[in-house]
Amino acid sequence: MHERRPWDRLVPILAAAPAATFLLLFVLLPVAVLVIASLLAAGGPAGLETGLLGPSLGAQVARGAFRNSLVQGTVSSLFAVLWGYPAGLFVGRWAFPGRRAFLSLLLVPFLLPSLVMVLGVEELFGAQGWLGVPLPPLQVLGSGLPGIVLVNVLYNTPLVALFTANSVRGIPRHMEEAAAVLGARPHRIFGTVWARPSLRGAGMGALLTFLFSFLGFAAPLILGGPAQYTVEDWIYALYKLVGFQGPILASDLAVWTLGFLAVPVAVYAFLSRGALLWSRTDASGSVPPSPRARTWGWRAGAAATLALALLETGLLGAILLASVRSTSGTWSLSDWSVLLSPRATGAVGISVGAALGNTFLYALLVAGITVGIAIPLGLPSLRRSTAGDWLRGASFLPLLVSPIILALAVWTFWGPTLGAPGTLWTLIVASQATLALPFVLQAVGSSFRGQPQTYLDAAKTLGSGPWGVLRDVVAPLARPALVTSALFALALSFGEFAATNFLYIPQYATLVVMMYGMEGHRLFPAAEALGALLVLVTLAAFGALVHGGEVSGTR
Amino acid sequence: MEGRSLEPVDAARQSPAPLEVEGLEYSVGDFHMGPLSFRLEGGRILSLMGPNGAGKTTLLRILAGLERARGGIIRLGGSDVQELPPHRREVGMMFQEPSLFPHMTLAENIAYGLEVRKVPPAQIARRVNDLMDRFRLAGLAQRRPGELSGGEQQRAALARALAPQPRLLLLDEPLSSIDPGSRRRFQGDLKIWLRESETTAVYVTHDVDEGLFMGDRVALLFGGTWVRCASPDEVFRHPRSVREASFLGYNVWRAPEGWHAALPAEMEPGEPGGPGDLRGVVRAVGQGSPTARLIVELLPKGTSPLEHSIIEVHLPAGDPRALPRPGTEIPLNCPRILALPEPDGSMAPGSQGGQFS
Repeated sequence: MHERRPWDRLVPILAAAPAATFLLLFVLLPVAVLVIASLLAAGGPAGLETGLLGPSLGAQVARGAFRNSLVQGTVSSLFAVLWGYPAGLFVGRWAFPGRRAFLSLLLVPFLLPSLVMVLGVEELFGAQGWLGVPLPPLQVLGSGLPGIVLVNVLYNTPLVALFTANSVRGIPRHMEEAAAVLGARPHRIFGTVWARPSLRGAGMGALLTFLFSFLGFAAPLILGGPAQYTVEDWIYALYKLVGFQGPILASDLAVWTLGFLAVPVAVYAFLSRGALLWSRTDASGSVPPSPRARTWGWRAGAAATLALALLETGLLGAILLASVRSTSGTWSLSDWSVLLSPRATGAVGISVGAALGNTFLYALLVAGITVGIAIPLGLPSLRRSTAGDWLRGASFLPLLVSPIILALAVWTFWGPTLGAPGTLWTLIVASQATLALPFVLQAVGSSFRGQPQTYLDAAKTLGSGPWGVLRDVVAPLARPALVTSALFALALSFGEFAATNFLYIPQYATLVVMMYGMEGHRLFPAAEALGALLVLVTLAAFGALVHGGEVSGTR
Repeated sequence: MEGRSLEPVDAARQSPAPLEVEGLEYSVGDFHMGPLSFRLEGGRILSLMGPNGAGKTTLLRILAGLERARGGIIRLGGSDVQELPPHRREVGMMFQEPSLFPHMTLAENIAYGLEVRKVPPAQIARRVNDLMDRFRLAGLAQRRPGELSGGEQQRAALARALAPQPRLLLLDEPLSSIDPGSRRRFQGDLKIWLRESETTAVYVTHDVDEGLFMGDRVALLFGGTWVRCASPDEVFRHPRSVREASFLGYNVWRAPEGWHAALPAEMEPGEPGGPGDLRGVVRAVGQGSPTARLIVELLPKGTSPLEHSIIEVHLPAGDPRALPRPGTEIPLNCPRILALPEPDGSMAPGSQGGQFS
């Protein structure tokens, strides 16, 4: 009988250790302490309930926050699906000029900082906006609940379209042809071949839209004000801005949010197993050309796709153009020069150069940490182990723990231990890495899992030992995905706003935080220039990604 | 392929290694295999045949060390290799798909097994060049697998598997992805090479023609159990059960007195109305290559009906007008009709845990 060697058992444990330790130190323990502290302060779960449902001011605030989050999450996901589903089907099912470029461009909003999206909506639909001025009724979309929903929709519709497109791109063309020659009419073909996978993709997109909108931070903060604050905004506001009972109420609200989101996150984790967010290639090989007979479905898909392309391009264009347009309406680079002025530095207490340095340093560290943690999890021995399964499940935790709750938990847990403000940047990096980790784990993991087993078997039978297989076969094959994942982590860190804004002190500010500070100090030209800079950096990261590999479906 | 011999990598290892398997058992889920025992002399080829799901690939993977057996012994060249991991078994394997490493060039792929054995670079270069010449890959050294045709990839995969001079070569339906014309040619090339290099090999296929041609011995594996192992001629000429005969391409039918089998090529149609061993009605006719095919429904001799009465008759391809027309009743002369035992579930009495050498 062939016994397993002790080393066989040890390798998965060692490989899982970095990810497990990281998740333990920066998610599980801090959140557990936050929850326990809240429960103790409230005298148990009943106390929390009374706090939320009772007549107190804190309970009224919490109910308002939940109501806003629910409304924004539900309405945003509804619109995102109505828009993104036909567009996704159109892009996924039919070939048309520029299809590949469009598929890639759908990824850009995903990489943009949310604050930049808010800026884009203001530039387009605000009182001084490119569309708001000639078409005054559209100004309603520049602020308040409509503006918040529009930001959420513009941010997430591409996700719904991507998930939908990718779910149908893998369907072989001959399936549809088989149904057609068997006599099925177009609606029956759709029901038989396309409906199930595409609805799964759209469902994933809808859930993600709900989660991101429920936990929206920047848009309600800037466009809505306290009347539209979500739970994220209220946790931030209660902790940072309200004295006395504020932190306790913030913790209570965080605990309620965690409990509320457990179900949608679990459903999303279930649906997204093995799903790809973006891929350079079509899994099914050739994509059929658009049908000669333009069905209503084709027309709806084409219209949704065109509208999405126009609005997303218009958004980016508005931000870039705003940075080179002076307040008098002439073209100049004066906005960019404001960036270097003492006023800009005074707004958040740090120069643009230093903020840029921080941003890049954090991004590099986040990319290194997340990819470094993810690589061992791709080891062949861990791929099929129970420990690997648990860790892959645990990697969804940061989706449940929103940026603000994570920052609050990390600060509560590690703040007293770290003590000196000089070490605060480590918490910013750890928080950003935690938020990027689920995405990187999934991307790297799916890349490793996608490697054909016969490559590994071939290397073994040719005389390569475990490390040889890893070095000569597994690592080179995974390299494109590792580079792509690192770039994604880099981009996500670059644009992370909520957690960084919660944790920073001036010397550790990033570009996005600085942009928010400038808006607060009414340095709008400088904020516009910074927004344009962030758009350019995002487009550069996107360009690098297009030359990379594949990206899996979570973040 | 060229006829000259290759320079050996390891001059000390010249004698072919015999393969001995004793009481090998394996199970996963509802599938159980074994216990299997057999001995294959060094330098010989064993064709392992059986329907899909019989356990052929699993047995190969166990021999390679890629799967763990539940019990049993595997000896290669007299030493027990059961506890050795794949990279220490000195076993080469060719998979159904070429499985060339996509990030390496063709030359790097072929050299891989030699490099991990730390063979001196000069010797690696000579060996790679020899193999590329022999397998008609010269000039493609710097190509990546994606730039090669299917046939070139298969030849490269074989060259890669053979480069380190494995003591045992395992071939898992290696020609399944090649078109039929190239496939027959490749079979010939492969058999010549294996014979010249005196490589002990286990060749898995579910193609009867291929298996009979390639093997010095032929083993039939049905449902994880040995059914038969003998010379190709013995296996083909003398099936011992309905299932064996059916798998080997015999016509099998059941008359009131029991099961019978006959080869389609050994059934000759006579003139309508003439005498014959059997009688039948032609149901369909078609030209084929290299034979024409008649589909015939056998007629019972008495009143009892036949079971499985639709059979096939192969005739030398020729003038299609000379073939009987559908609906014609014809006599069939069969010099060799086998009587087979009643199937008992296992299809071959006493076949559990079969042993052969």
